[in-house]
Amino acid sequence: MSTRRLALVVTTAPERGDLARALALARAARAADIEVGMFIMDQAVAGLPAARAHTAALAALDCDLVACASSAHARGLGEADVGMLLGSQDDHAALVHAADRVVAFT
Amino acid sequence: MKRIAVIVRATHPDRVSEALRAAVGLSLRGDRVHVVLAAAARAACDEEPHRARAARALATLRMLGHDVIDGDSSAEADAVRTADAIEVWT
Repeated sequence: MSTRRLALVVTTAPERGDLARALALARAARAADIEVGMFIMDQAVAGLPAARAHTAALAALDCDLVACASSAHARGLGEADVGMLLGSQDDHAALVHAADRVVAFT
Repeated sequence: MKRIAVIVRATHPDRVSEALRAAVGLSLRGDRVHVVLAAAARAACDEEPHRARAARALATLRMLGHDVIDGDSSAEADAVRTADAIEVWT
């Protein structure tokens, strides 16, 4: 059976709770042996510093996690702050292009 | 090649700008992007100081051959119906 791949895109403000939902969905997908990639941009990157323990756990489960560098830098955040690789909209495009399913919290 | 629908329902100009930036970005891997702008999002595009940036993103999408329309729920439904991936920006 070919590997299934889930893309998660999160852009909403932390108070919406979507980042937590996406992280939970990612954990469930990994438990079902589904490959997971996440791209976080715009207001959602502000929630990443507080979520570093959760994102580190997902990285340990081989999830590909990328935050938008433009969004992070606009908020004074660096790679150490967000706890994941800083990338670009090309990473967003690559993630969506390669996915079998996309869940966007936008 | 995927068909990606980007439905922009956001009303704040900053959010609309980010949605359009994302739409341009989503075109980078050869997928076809279909943007539907709700009326409030279109109005936000025309607000200063966001007007030039929004216009540039919309022009880039059109220049690259992607669809950008001002639409209502019917247009949104049409875009969603034929999409392989959907982002609804609120």
